[in-house]
Amino acid sequence: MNEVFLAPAAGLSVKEIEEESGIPISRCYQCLKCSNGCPVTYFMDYLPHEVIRSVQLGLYDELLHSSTMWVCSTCATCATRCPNGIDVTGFMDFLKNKILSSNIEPKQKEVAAFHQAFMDEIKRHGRINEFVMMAHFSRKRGGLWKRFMDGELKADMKLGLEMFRKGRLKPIPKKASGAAEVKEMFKRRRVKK
Amino acid sequence: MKVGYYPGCSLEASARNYELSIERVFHLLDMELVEPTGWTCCGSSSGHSIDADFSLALAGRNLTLASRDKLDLVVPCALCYNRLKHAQKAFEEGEIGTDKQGPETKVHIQDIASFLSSKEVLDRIRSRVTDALKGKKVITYYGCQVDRPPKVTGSKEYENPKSMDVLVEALGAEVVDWSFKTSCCGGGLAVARRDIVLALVGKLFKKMALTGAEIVAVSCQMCQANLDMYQKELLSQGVITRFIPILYITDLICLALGDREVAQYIGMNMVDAPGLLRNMGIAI
Repeated sequence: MNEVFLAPAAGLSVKEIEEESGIPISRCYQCLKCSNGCPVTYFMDYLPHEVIRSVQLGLYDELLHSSTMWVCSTCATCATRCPNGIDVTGFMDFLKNKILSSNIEPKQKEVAAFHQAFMDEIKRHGRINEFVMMAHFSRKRGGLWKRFMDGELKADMKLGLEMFRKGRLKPIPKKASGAAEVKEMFKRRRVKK
Repeated sequence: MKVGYYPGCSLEASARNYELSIERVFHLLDMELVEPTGWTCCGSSSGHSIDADFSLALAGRNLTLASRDKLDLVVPCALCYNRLKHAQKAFEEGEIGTDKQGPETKVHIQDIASFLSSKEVLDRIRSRVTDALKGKKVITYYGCQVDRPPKVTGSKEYENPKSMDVLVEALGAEVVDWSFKTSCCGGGLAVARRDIVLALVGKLFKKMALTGAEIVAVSCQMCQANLDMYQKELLSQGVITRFIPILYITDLICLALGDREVAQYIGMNMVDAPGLLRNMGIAI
């Protein structure tokens, strides 16, 4: 009888990833508590326990092209309930950080563009002005014509107008007094590859 | 009484009604809010999604400022609270990479509901409460970021938090219990993946409808926005059958203290909350 063994794939080993992330991936025994408590599994291609299992099997590289960490809402239910103390939520951050610093195209481009627009706004003004950040994101996410045709743009603008009317949008950004210091921090920021 | 206060960016604009309502409560209870000089953004969920280490430095900077101004911090925004707690833990463990300079003294960080339900403040509330909310069925919704992960937040009742329940009870209203107090609303995903937020919020409303709750109490402005903004859309899709007012816990305190000024801030909600409250017989 032929026995089939699942050979570990090439790529970073579990040990290497554990060292770099500081998260003890190898402790996972697949109890599925993370996936059972996760509110957004419906929108994921790999469920949280599959993400961890993939790393154990040496399939880390494949994960970098998945949607899972981008639709993760960071609610931290998984990390809270893991009986082995694996910070699954933190590992989702680790994956997102890796994808962006290695210039891999994120599977959920719009989510990544939103995060980038948000950070750009912190760099520019020290605090977030939601109006300016949204305008910046709207440019970055692209597909303006399609969104116009779908009526999505109109709905967004209608909501924006109502917020403005209710005094909940400030179209003119104000620099926070600590903005210069934050800009300095961005300059000193070293991106780990 | 002076209270250190980190409002966070969204309270300056999209959640301006929350800030006004907080200021009103503090005024009514004779407490003064003091912000750390030069505070900046905590990095929010985008910060750690892009660069987890650097986001700790962004949040941590504010702890340094608070310590310099000799302030403890009460934080209304659940995300800010969560990120500040993360930074504090990282400072304690010496894990902040980019900017090592940390706060000289430990800043006591509290989410606003815990602060308001502390004995001293609760006594102030109890001594002035009217029967404006008597018998109203209020459901409390905490969201994720104040309690989870407990290793960071230090929360003891992370599966069943009580701070707002204690407050609502003190206000003379009836607390409605349910199992979804800390289920996620989708938070910041609302911008890039509205579909996810609609699904999560729809589920929350369906569970809520089974309880007979009349008012939803929240303390996080992301929860407030996600529950308040999409009700028209969910109604047209048949997910909900009626509007429900989503009030900040501070709005409820103002109402219970017999304050009328809060009506304007409640009126900044997307759903006509003042109208709904009036229909329930609440003077507003």
